[in-house]
Formats: sequence, C-alpha cells, structure tokens
Amino acid sequence: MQSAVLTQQSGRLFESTFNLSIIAYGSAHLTGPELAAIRKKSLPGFRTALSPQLLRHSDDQTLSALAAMSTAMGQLATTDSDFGKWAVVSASRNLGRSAFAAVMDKYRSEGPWGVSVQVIPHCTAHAVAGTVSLALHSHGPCIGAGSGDNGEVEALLAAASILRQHHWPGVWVLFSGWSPDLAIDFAGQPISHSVCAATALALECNISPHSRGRIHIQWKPDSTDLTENDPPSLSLAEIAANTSDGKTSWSSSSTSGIQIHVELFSSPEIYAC
Amino acid sequence: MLAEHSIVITGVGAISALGRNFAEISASLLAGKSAIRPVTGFDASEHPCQIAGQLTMPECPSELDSSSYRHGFPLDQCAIWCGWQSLQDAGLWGKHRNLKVGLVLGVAAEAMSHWDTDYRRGGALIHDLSQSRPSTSSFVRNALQLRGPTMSIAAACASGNHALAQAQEWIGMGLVDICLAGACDMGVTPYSLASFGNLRALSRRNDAPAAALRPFDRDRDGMVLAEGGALFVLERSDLARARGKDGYAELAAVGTTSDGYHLVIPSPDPTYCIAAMRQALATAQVNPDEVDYVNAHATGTPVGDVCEARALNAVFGSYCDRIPVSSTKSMTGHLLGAAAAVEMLACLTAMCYGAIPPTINLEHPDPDCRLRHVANQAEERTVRIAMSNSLGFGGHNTSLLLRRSSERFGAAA
Repeated sequence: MQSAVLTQQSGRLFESTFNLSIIAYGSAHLTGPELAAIRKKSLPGFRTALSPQLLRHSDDQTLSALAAMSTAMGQLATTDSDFGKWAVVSASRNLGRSAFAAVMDKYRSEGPWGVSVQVIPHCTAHAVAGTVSLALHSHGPCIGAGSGDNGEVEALLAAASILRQHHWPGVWVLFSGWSPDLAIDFAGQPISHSVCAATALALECNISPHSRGRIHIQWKPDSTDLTENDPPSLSLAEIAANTSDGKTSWSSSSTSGIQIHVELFSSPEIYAC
Repeated sequence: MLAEHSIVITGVGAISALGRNFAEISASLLAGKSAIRPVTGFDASEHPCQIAGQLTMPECPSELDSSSYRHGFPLDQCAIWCGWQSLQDAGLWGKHRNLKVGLVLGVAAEAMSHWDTDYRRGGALIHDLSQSRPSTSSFVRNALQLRGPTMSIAAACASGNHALAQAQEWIGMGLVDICLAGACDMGVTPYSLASFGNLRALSRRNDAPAAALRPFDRDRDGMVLAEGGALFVLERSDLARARGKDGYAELAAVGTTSDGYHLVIPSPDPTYCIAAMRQALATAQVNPDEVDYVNAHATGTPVGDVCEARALNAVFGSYCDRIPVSSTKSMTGHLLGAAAAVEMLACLTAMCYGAIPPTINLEHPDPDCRLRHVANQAEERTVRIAMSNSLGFGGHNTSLLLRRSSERFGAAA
C-alpha cells in the first residue's frame, strides 16, 4: 500500500503526508537499582547477549532503551525476527551528562590520564543507536537524531527519510530521557530520585493489518510559518506506558508547518491508512 | 548530463584551520598545506597528543545580528558562519527568508561541546537544570532566520554524510524548498584530546605537527583532531537552473550501512564498508570504472587505513590501480563529526579546480594499503565523478558520490 499522499506544488507532485506503521512498541521506566541490575543480566528478545563489559560502560538511557526494545520484541509474532537489515535511530535528552560531569571532575583532579576512553563512544548522541545495532546485529544506518526539545520530531523525520530510500525494510526508533531530569553532584553522581524512561518503536513503511499503531507525518509544502505551538506535556519516552486503556496518542508541536501524530494501540488493530 | 530533478549543490560555506571559505581551503588543499599546530587555549602539556588543527572563529559577518553570534558557543558560531556563507554563495542570502529553507546539521558531540565551553566560561550548565539552551540547529535557525525544519544528526565521523542523505530526502519529499546540510565540529577540548589520546588513537608526533598525520604511510601512528565545518546549499536542479544556477555538482547518492561490530574498534571485516560504496554506486547508476577520484576516510590509524584499502580494492577491483585516492585528513586533521562535510568540499575542489588534493606525509606507502595514491603533491585531473568515504567510530559506513554539473564545467571537460 502506498504510504505517501501527494499534492501539487510548482507544477510537480509532492508528498504532503507520510504514514508509517508501528509493528511493535515497548517502554521502560527504570530506577537506579533496576538499571544496575540490567547491567548484569541478559535481556530477553535479543539473539545474542551484549557483553557485561559493554553494558558496564553504557549510559543509563542506553540500558533503558534496550529494556524498552526487549518489551517491544515480545509483541512480535515470531521469536526469531531478523533485524539484520534494519536501521536504528535514537533521540535522547542529555545523554551522558552524568558521565561527562564525572570526566570533568576527574580531569580537574587527575589530569588527562584520568579521563576514561569510554566516555566518547558511550556518551555521544549516537551511542544509544550504536549499542542497539550491536544488540540486533543490524547493518542499516544507525544514527542519533535531535538534540533539543524537538528531538522526537527530528528522530521520526529521520526514520521516515531512511524508509523512503527503500534500502531498509524497517527502522527501530528509540526515545529516552530522565523523568524528571536527573540532578547530579559535581562528581556526576545522581542526587534526585528520577526514573529513566524509554520508548522503542519498530517502524515499517507498509501498512500492515496487524500493526500496533501508526505515525502520521503531515506538512504544508508552502508554509514558511515560524511560529511554534506549545510542546506536548509528555515526551514520547514517557508515553508508551499509558496504553493499557486501549489506545494512546501523542502529537508534536507544529514546527515549520510540520506536525507528527503518533497512535499506539494496546492490541493489534486493523485500521485504514 | 544531470537528471531533470537531481539534487545539486549550489552553495558552499566552510571554515577550518586551512581557511575561512571554499576558495581559501581549496588553495591550501591543493598546495599540500598542513593545518596541524601545537594546541593552544588550554594546557596540553600532560596530554599524550599535544597537537591539533584548531580554529579561531572570525568576527560576526556584518549581515548578521552580532549579539546573537557573540552569545553563541563556538559550535553555534561555526555553523552560523558556514550557513551564512553558503546562502551567500548560492545567491540566496536575503531571498532565503521567503523560502522554506531547512537545515540538517551533522554534529558528533554537541552536548559535550556545549557543557565544556560553558564550564570553561565559568558556567555550570551541566549541573544546573534550571538553565536551558537551544540546540545548535535551533540557534542557527534563529540566527539565519530559516523558515524550514531543522535536524541535528549524529553518527560519529560519518555525521556529515548522513546529514546530506537526509537533506536529499527532505527535498525529494517537498518538505523544504532548499536545504542547508553538512556538519560542524569544535571537538578539540581537553576531554576529547585526553579520551582519544588515552585510547591511543592519536598521533604522538608532538615535535613535528605538520608531519604527524600520515594516512596510508607505513609509519603512521594515529589521527590528529581538528575543528571546523562545511554547510552546503542543496536544491532541485530544475529550480536552480530556473534561477540561473547550474551548481557545483549533483549529490548523486549516499550509501549508508553499519558494521554492528564494536563501538570503537573498526571491524576487520570490510563487508559493510564495501556494501555502503556499492549502494552509492548502484543508486547513482555509476560503474566503478567511471569514478575519477576517491577521497578516503583514512585517518592514519594502523587498522582503519588497511581495512578501507581492502574495501576499495574489493569494490574497484583492477580499476584500483588507476583511480586516484587521497586522504585530505593528512592536511585538515580529523574534524570528527565535520570530517565528511569538509571531505565533500575536497571533492568539489577537485571538480572545480581540475586537480586532486594529495595525501601529504605519504613517504613510505604501506604495502597493505595498495592503492593509486596521490602522494604529497596535487595531481591535475578532470574529475567528473568523485566518491567520498566516511567511516565513523562504531562502524558507521557512508559513501557519498558527486557528479560534476557538466553544464557549469562542460568546457573544461
């Protein structure tokens, strides 16, 4: 089924909407002790376990994203789903803040030799997607997208662009962040009781009758409007846990005439594109 | 001949330690100049690597709001500079406010860069949750008064090529009229120098900075960090032509894969690096023997250079003996998240000036990196199709193909 709708502009046909199908989703809300436990155990759903050495250095948001994926994979019809050709996109908020504060503190006290070699691979914006691609043995592009309050929109636009290339059958999209934002001391240690939230969405371009939700990206080709609506009250990292009553939805603020609407169903649902 | 609705590059904005615009950087690249110097701005005397290609940002261009530029962090300023210059070069400055101009900005470690800059200015952004700061892409959007969507994209050293691939799709979807795309990075910080240094990824030839970065050379001992960036104006060829612009080149394709192997160590198996190059060639409908120049990722690390050379040999086969290859990182240093964008600029240099920038410091080519090197001196050559590889830490493989706009340079071809 065609997932794009076309409108006329400058004598050419242009898409003005793009629809994506959510074939699975999952969420995780993890406290500090729960995150510590994940570092030591294998999560279900992945074909091979990530090494404890890798997980020891992973950011808490990466662990939360892996846990959300593990839940999502439990929704899939087959247990041996192959994501080898899938892409991965992640959007995190303040990834690596705690670890980088610790690095700055250590640099002050010990100089350059005290700086860990792990901080760059595990705390830069692509780290969540990179670790997930290792867990899945996936070979599609894996990127971090979005660095500010608009991270969700940026990540979903990135996923849509990747799927539009038709090189990859699907994209895992991971959203993560602390709720509320984690307060840390000067050594990077947490001093607030925050929860690390993550949502994982498995997206395909083709509309399936067994989808668990859908994403509708809409834009006005001629809009040069600079105004932005208020952001939604909940982030996508927090939203997926609220589907127990059947259906939940999330809409982005409107930016440059672009709006994204996400619907999640508690059970597979047939819907018209 | 360009396809009717191909995506063309009509503007270039760039800055690095080799120059403050496309012409200056091109001149330095073709002259074989090195940007690598002893580190300044912080005490690097205890670091294993004490050299880099650092950048001092110029004053605010008169066309821009100076207070906004001044309040920006160096990464913001770098992106604003490149975006402004690119729109100027494309003949769109001023007119761009009536167009839906998007921005896809490749950045490798934006948050760390901001936390570090803020801390060195006496701030506590990393600790103080009450402080909030716009992302660099938002900052640039406001400073340049862009009216289209923006995106930050991170894929380590391949960020720039991913940004260009996204921009290509945005234009194809009609999400934007025109897109600024590329990457910027101001990554020479005490922490990055220490972390990469402790990883033994950086050269320790501190007493000979200009000779330190030696891609494909037998005596290479690692990369050297650098700063800067490049942003390009991308637009549909038919719309560019309608306003009298042929463009520098067509962005023909970007191939992207990942190794799924390790977050730091390059995969010894070049399968997915090969796949990225083949994907780009297939998408652009280009045969391997049609490629006139390859700008290699080659960072000067012992493992990575050999792996890329093997991948190039697998993709180009017997043509590898005659397709010129160079690594301009030998001159620019490794711009991390911005590397891909600045190396696409090097490909445009080759197309526009009819000469291929060399790999400098290539005195004893590594026999395990058997390629047709452009060693130490630029080589005159007509370049119609160029490939630029960017292979990021964590196994991000990207390969970009440019096809020269024959209309613009037809007479020289």
